[in-house]
Amino acid sequence: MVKTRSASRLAGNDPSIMDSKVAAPAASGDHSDKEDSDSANRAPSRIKGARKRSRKNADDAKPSKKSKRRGRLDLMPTMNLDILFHILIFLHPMDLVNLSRTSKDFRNLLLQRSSAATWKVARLQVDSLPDCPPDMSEPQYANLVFYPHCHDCDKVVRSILWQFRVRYCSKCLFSKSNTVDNSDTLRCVPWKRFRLTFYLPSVTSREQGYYKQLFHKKAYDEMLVEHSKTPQDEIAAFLDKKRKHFEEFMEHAKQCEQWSQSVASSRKHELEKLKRDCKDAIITRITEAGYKPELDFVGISRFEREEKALFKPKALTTQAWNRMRPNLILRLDAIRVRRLDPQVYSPRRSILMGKYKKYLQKTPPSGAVFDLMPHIADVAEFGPFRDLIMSPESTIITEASFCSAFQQLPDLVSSWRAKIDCEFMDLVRFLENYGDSGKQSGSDFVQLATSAFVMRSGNDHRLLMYPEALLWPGFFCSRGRADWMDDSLRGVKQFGCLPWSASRSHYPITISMFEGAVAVVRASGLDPKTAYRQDMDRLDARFACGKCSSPGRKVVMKWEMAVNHCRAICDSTHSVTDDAQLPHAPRSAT
Amino acid sequence: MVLLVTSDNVQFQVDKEVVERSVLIKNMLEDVGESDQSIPLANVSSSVLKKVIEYCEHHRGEPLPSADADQNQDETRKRTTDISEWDQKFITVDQEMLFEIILAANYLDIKSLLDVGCKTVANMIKGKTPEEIRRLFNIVNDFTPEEEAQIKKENEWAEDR
Repeated sequence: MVKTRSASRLAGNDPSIMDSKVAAPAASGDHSDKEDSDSANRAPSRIKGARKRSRKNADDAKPSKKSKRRGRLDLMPTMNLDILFHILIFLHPMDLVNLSRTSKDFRNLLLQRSSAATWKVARLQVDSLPDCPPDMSEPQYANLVFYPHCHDCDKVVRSILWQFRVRYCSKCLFSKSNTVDNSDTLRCVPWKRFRLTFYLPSVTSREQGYYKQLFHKKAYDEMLVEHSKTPQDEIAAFLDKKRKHFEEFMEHAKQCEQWSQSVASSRKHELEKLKRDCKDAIITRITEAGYKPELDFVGISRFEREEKALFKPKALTTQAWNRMRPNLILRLDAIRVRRLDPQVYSPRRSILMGKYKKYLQKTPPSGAVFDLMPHIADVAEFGPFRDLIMSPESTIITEASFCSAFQQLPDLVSSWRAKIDCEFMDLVRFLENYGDSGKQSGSDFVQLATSAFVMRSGNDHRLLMYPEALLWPGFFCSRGRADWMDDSLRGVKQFGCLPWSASRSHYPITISMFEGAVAVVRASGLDPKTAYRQDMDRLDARFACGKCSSPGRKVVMKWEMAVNHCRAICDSTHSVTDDAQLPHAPRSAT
Repeated sequence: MVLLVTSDNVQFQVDKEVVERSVLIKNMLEDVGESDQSIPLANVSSSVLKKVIEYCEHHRGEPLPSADADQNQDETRKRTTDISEWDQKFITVDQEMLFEIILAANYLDIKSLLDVGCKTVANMIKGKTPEEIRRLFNIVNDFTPEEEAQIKKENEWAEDR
């Protein structure tokens, strides 16, 4: 018999009973008779391997490592039943269902009719749930309402067929062992002149494109049996009773359906609210971490779409935030890079562009003579300029901020030029009879009159003389989209071209010395290995093209034009035009 | 002051107002009247009584539930498992101590403390699957797999089966 709390208390006034009652472990070896009689009042006994509970001394108030490690409530099943039931009244019906499925003892305890009050108390805690119908037990009702599995195959099923008081998955719903199709009943129902739908709840559902009206087989069979047992003169009363029962049943089903919908709706709203709260909490945390401008840059709604996996319908704990933080911050940092460029770096580059334009219009500083000035895209990459452009967002950058960098510009240009000359020379293929002498002589070589090069990259091939060869578009072109997506190059998009590079081109660059230039220099009577451009300019000779000239009509040109012309009339194999075709024509003779 | 003696023979001098949160002791004091005699609490160890006194001290002066409150309790009453912040902190103890407190609260008839203990255990059970509850309580699953499948389908009262 279950003891009440007061009964336990009264018994507790007798010290001998007190001793026997307080938490004597089920497995204890020194059970007194009293204990044995108490055992009936205990909750379902557990439990193999349960540890003996040792009474602790006052000195042992600090929890032992053992009990901490165990972390189990394994004493609960040994407790007095009134305490156990006191715990159970705080549970949800589904928790009682689960508890009843843990062991035979718990099942026997909770499925006793005497436990009905506990189930009822638990059920009454569920807002607006219609009462348990009289033809169902409380555990059955709890199982129907809260256990989201098919009553046949145990597959997860969210919806309840209130008309049948079951949950069926779509397969089990149409199983002949569970339901009967109305069209099949016509053959077997003896009262077929009555509409069965007046007496039995039905469900209309679609199977293989056809709508079927189904009866629950259990109810259908019971009705058939009952009907067969009913004397003929009582059939009318039987059907009246059935009809009344059907109406009550359907009324309950309707209430349950309404309850179900209201629960689903309030749950939906609750989840939405939780999700909103979670989102707000994440946004607050992001703002606190200093990434509000990034949120504004992408827009909250887009951020929400992109990061929707983060917004879960549950409160954001510090632990959850710490878990998501590292990856989220990485993504926000990427957004920051995207944001800083248009919002911070781009205006600074515009300032630099304006100032560089003015700089180029001014007379060059004394001693700084350049035949080629770098593109603004290169200037912006020079250390002092880049540092200013990329300085923290909070730094205010004006035209004046660039003054000191401009003072260093001549030196920076010299270094840059030396660097690109070097990269250029690395690409040059020398003529066989030149060997690597050009490379060895370094920058001197490019000053020779023979420094005309055939530049090739993909379909682009052209003849250029130094230093114009350095301006060949192949050195400024991008590999396409990949370059603009590259964070380090993204910023220079506004300059319309990329910084000078001998290696970025999509196609390999080849630079070959043009033999025609050698032929022109030789035709002028100078040594191609020593004649500088200035020498050729000084000579100011005119050259007649042997191929294009005809008797009485000579095609004459200056040496640079002659080199280009030589390229134009040469075939693609770069055959050297012989001297006879380009006879030297002294200026005086023109 | 009231002198309480625990099962391990430790004596506690406690304010009458504090100790009277226990209906058991309150009734005993009313029955015995003014006396210097100690009250033996053979079911309560000193470590548990220390916790119980801490609880009673904190809730000193709060109204006690009326004697017939239990009888008048409407079963439809909404039972919340919310626990106040202080109580939650107080009851954050190892699980052996938790059950000792529940047993002591039941024995000493301190309804509010019993509620706090039972709610704490209920909160631990809530939302757990049978397997998780088994692990929590160290319960051995004595169902065969067939029985386990069957019990999911059979939920009528045992007497009706």
